[in-house]
Amino acid sequence: MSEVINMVIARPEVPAPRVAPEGELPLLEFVTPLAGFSAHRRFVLAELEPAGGPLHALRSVEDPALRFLVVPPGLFFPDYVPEISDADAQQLGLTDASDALLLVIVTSGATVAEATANLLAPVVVNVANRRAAQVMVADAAMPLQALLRPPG
Amino acid sequence: MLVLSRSEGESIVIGDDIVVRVLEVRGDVVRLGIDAPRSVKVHREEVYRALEEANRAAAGTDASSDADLAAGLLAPKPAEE
Repeated sequence: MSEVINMVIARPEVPAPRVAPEGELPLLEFVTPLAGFSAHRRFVLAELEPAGGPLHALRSVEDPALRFLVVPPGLFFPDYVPEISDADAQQLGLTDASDALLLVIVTSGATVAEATANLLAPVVVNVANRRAAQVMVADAAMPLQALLRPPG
Repeated sequence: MLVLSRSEGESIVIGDDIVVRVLEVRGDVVRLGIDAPRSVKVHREEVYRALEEANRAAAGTDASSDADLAAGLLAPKPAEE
């Protein structure tokens, strides 16, 4: 009934594991779909130009016109170390936190200063089996819209 | 909508393997305990709706503004570091 939440993932000081070998676009299978987009289970993760930058696109295989922008959060939110539930970890087949790639969904604004990231429900990818899920983190106070570039 | 009356300690069963139990009724707050398979996600409705809304706001189509955002995020942070 009450769920023990004990998996801490993707410490910012640890470089994110690569999902796919160089040059190959990883195909991700969402075992828990993005909320509101349950018809879309398969996404391709693509790096956006300029290469080496943090911004990536999750493009739906079912609908090429649908894409979400994502970034690894470590660069922007160094203190963000979310915990996910055992149930979510199990569904992803995650047994080792080092297999977890953490991405946060970005909502672009009119300017970079207005772009926000969803810290309440990140996308977690198991790079070992390429399963992905949008999960609610344990801390319910995490914001749905955190400025990527807060002023000051 | 099916409407059932239940007292504290009583439950309802949904399908084979989902049980919702009324743990406590105090004033206008009802505490519920939910037993469900791990594949069934349980959320407070307003939280889940807000997440759906956030996802809809983030959903888009590849656009030239993506490149602007990518370049802007690469630029050094104005303040610290």
